[in-house]
Amino acid sequence: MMRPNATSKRSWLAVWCLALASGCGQDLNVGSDVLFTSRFEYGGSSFPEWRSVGGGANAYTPAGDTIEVSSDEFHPPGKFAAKLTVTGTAGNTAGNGASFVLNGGLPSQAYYSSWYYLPSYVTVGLYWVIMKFRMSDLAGNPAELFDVNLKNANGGMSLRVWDHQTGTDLPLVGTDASTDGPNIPVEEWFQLEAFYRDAFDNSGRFTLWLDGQKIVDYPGATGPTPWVAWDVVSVGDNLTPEPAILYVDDCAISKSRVGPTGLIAK
Amino acid sequence: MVRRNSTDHEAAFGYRLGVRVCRYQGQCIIAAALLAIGGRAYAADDAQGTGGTPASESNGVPGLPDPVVGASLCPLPDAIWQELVTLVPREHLISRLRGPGKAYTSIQVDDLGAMFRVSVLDKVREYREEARECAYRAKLAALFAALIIDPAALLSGALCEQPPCLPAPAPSPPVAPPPAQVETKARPALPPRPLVHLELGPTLVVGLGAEDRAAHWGGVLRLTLGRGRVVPVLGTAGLWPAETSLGGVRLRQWRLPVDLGVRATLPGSWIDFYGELSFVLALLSERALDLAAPRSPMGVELGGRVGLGARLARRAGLAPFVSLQAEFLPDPPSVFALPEGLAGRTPYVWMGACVGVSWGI
Repeated sequence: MMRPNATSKRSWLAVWCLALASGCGQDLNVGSDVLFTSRFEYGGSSFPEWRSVGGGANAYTPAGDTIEVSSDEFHPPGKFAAKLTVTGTAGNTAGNGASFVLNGGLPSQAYYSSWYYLPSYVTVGLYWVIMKFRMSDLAGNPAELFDVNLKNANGGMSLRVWDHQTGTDLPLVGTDASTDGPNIPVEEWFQLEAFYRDAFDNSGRFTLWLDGQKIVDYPGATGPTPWVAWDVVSVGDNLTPEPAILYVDDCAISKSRVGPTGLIAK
Repeated sequence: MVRRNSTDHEAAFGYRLGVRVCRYQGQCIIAAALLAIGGRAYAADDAQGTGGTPASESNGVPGLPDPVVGASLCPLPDAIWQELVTLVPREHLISRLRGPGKAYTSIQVDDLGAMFRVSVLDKVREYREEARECAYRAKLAALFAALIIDPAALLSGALCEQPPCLPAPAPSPPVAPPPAQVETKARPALPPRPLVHLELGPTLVVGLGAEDRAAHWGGVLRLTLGRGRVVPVLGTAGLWPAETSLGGVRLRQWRLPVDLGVRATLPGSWIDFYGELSFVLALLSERALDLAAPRSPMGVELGGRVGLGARLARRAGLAPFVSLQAEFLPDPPSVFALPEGLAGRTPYVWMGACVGVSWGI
């Protein structure tokens, strides 16, 4: 039979062990700056992360283009990514392609992040837009603003940002638009993150990072109204070979910068 | 140890070279017993209002200095003399203080705050009496003086039944101390230490390790139970929220620690020093200030606490104290935010300081 004092000692020990187990190594989740995420981890192709948001949609035209959730090339630590497949790009003056769209309802300034994966080299005939920002004119009509494009350079892939307002590429940081631009890896995930501040004066700003490295920093007027749209797309003109495939994953809009090491979900 | 060449009387009462401190037991019990013996004379003296006064009026020899001197407020020299003449015949006192063939000496009393010192005929003793009951101190000092000057008069208390004491035939030489059974009947010389100490005061607690050291102001409440030198202690602190930053995430932090342990006290003449060792459990709440979707999670911290303090030495009532503390948390909670991820960990060490009042009950 156990003596009472021994029982008491064991009880105290049990209490302390329980307290230590519950008190140590805790994570205090103090909240999030992430306003929108799309991780494509639901496994289906209904894209609820985009479609359940006001102004959100996915689209693919013409009939040969597709958007599907694929586990072929997923971005760790997830299991799935979105596979954007486009065909019939020759003479694509209508801007057809595969798109995820958020039309309006976005903050006046935020960081927009998305991961991309090119499974193979693609020759870009005229353009290949993979991220877009659109604005609304004073009459309330949506208009093009900035297009982040893939291009060919130095035997590989690179980036440029087309400014629809001026009809030119935005200058790259430390150089000018005529340079070849940064290298885009093939068969590797890379992150593009943009900071967009909507203002019709010089307080507006558009900054773009590639894997954490700033490549574009544009200060100046952006949109004349608070309305802004953000698209993660694959829209090309004269891409070869076809179909041109682009994987997309872990799209996010955040009040603070995500960066290559940031988390958009716990 | 007994000083060589000391008399039997000195050895019996434990006098040594220099000063001997009486701490409630032992020797004080003897003195208290003798106080009881002299109690009747004291009462009669009070009734007749003939307690006597120092100086030439009281000793009856004009020109002689005061028999009890000293800049003491508690006890007053007068009060000691009033007690003394109820215990020993006045003539004995004067003749012994003068001494055969020696210059006249006085009884010296010094007020040391929580203690007082009595010097009689080269014998010195200090008594600890934190409550500063001056009448009681006067009785104790008079007893000590009577023991040195004329212990025989104390034992033959009949001489002083109707104070002022009647003159005795001649000063008696020192005799043996009272029988041992008197000691066993003696009451405690001083009131016991408080059973409970309740401490309250404002505090400042700072967490070390965060980017911005959050300074929490608040109040401390601590409780000790027991009269021993090592007693259990229970404490808590109510702290106001403070702003801090962790990994670039601005936070509003709130904390409620509770600790349970032991306190060891080292009593001193004026100051009691103490040290504490405790287990600490704290509730910690963090709220992000700038995030788009903030949350206010609450976590638990477990660790150890070390405290050091000092308190004005008093038997009861209010006494000021100061204390320092350090809490060590081996595995503090982590703070997580999106999109940053792990922002960092809350402090491993919390330092605090407190100034307040201790209430002995």
